[in-house]
Amino acid sequence: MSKTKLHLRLDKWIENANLSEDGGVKTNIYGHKSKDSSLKSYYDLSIPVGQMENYFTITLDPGSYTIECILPSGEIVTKDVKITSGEDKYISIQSSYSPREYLSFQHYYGNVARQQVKKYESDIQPTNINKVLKKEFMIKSRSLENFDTKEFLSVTLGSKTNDVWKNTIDKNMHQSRGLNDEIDETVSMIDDILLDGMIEISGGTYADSNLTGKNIWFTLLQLIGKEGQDELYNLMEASYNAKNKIDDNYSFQWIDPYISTDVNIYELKEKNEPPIRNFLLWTPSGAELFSIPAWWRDSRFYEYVPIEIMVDISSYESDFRSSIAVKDQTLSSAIAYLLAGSLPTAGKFIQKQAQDMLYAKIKNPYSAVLGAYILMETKYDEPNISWKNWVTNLYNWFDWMPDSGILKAWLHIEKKEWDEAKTLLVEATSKGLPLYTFALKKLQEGLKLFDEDEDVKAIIKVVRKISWRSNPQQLFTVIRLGLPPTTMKS
Amino acid sequence: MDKFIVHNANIDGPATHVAIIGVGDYPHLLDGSGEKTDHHDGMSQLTSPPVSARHLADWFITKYHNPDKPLGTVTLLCSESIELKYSNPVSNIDYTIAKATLKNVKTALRAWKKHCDKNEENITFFFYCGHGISQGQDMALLMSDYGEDNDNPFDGAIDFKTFQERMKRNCLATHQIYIVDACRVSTDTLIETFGEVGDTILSGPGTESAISTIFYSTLAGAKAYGKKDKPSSFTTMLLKALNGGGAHDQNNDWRISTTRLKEAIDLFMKRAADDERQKVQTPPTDGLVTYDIHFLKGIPSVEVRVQCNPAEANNRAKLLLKTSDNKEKKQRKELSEQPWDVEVQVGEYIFSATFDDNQFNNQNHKKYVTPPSPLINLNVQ
Repeated sequence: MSKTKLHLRLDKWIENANLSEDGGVKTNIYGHKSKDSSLKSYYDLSIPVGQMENYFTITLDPGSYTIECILPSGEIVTKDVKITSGEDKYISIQSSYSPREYLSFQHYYGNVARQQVKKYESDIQPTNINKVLKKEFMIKSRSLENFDTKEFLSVTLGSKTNDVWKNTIDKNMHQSRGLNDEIDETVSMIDDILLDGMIEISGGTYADSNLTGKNIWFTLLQLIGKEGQDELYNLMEASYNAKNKIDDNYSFQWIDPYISTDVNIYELKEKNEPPIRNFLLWTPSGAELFSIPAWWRDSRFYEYVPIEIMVDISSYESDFRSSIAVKDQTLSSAIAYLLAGSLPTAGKFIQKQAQDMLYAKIKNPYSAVLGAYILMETKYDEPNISWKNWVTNLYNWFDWMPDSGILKAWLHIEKKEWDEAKTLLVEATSKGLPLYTFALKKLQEGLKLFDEDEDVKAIIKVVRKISWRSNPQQLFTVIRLGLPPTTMKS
Repeated sequence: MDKFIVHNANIDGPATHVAIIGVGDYPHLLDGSGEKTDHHDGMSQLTSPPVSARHLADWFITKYHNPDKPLGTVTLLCSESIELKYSNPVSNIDYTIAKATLKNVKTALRAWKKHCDKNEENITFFFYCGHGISQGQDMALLMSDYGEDNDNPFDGAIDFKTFQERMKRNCLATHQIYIVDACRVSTDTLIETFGEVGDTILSGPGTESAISTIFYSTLAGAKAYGKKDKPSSFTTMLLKALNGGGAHDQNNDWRISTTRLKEAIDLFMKRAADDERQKVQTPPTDGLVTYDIHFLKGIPSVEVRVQCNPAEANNRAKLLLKTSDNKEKKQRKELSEQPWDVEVQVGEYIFSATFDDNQFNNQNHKKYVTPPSPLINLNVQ
């Protein structure tokens, strides 16, 4: 009996992206078993995602199989196929759609909640939901000059009408992105915007120069302890004044959604040494400070990719949440699996790339940190190649980034080199907020190992208090400020 | 014998040691029997956690199968408004279960750790069901005496993350699993106000580094606890996953691995969240590393969800399934608007929807059922 070839892909539209099998969706193939035959099963494959005609090919014995795709969002889709001897079969497996085309990346990441999917399921009526507003900022980099800046400007979801979420968006902007989302022109954009603004407070040339290193921690400490918000507004005012100094050479963008039709938008421009940029975002429900990895070069061609910040303001929760995504096609799946807690899947998919990411640190130090973290947590070990030395290298090259020191400290902890580890962890707290939430977690866990040291104890107190305001669901560090935090209890 | 243990197989060599805590009675929270704390923050009495705890204890004692690491001990603490008995389903010995106060839990967990320390190849399971408060990376698990000291309510709580980290670095067992079935619902500043999370149970930072995986329930609010006096929604999903939903046959037999367990729970959770229009709120696992934990003795049972498209047809459809050789048949007992969740063994089935009138079309669909839980959509329009 001759073997047969099965070609697989997951059909899911993601804006401007087609995820190759190097970074696709986790797939298992179950050979059907009966009293007459028992076909082999295949696990942990990766198949492409998107709408391009690229397929993953596997050679199988003829027979019946169930293909199972496990998406980072937790969705599992299956399809039964029967292949006959010598057949060359192409299979597209259909997954659920994003509720909106412009939310497609966030939907793949699992950041878009079910409520926004209702439009496609007429049998389910929304309950207890009055309004969902959403605003999306896109930061674009200089290398994407073929795009009009405005096309990345903003998209807002307006009021819910007749159980359908409608957009209030700039029609031209939307069309220029090639999106086909429904546009409801009856909803006023300005009236419905709840998001007040976003501003950079540290990292850039004109941001508050005092807000560096330890000062960020202590400023945050002051802010989260005071609900009167005076300090928050002072910070905003200082940052607002800084924004007025923007000139053509400055790599910073300011977005003011109150001026909806002629928003001032500044391209992020290349800098020699990228700092971690801290942005402050505020809404009537509270404020958040988050870290952004500007610049981010994709892991294959090292071209700059957009960074997307989605702010979800949902009255059914009386709350809001921001989600930051880098549109790196090679890493998207790994990041999404990582966020979902599926570290083994993330690791399996990109262990090789993780090493490359680490080695190519000069191209993108942020992804190098991510690569090092994945290698470390999956306890990756390859004979003759010591990626661990490259973590030291990463730290030597990019010592301004607290994350690199935190990871290096954990390598020392593994080797029970306590003094070196302690020094690096304490030192990391003098370099501002970590970029990644996992680094903040590792910092806190690491410092706790030295809680018998009085000096460290004081630092733990600060780090822990701030980490209470962090959002563990996010890849990049997000700290809730001003209003009460999202404490969760049952 | 340790007064908190309800099962002890006295295993020499590698074994599995389980600690289960279910807290439903909170005297100092709303509707409690004691003096109400100022820091109740809307939390009240629960009925599901002790039921969940006993169901899980039953499952470990009757079904858990790991040839290399058989079940060693099961430690059980619960809090209910009445004195709680537990009858070991294998030995039929009746036990009076100790109340899950912080003092008892602390003593029990330290004794449990000693069992876990006996062999570095041990697997440890820790399960908690009850109220929890989490903020950022930290989480307080509230014991029955939470709020007894109104000035220091966290004197009745466990600082779960620090406890887990200290187990990871102090306990010799290299494989540790933590399951936290505590929902998260509202916002407040309790942890920030008091600047603490609770008792760490263990002291000393330690030097070891176990594989330590946490599974969190992510359903919010009352929905997480399901029906009165029934196991919580999450525990029900967990048991479904352990019974076969989380199985794989990568080694030519059926096993539950940590990663497959997570995938099954994620799917059940997502389905429940979709049913209840909830968001899944936190990362469901932390520190996940793949390894097998439970070995099934036969072919797994898998829950299949069968539904009509459009959904209004559910209420009019006779839904049934049968094997190709007609040897096995199942039919939905009552008409309902809800999808039909039915358990079958792995294999091929024909699913069908038939109608008494012409409003919808009869429909058949052949499907090979594999874990965790396939969705059968019968397009009857």
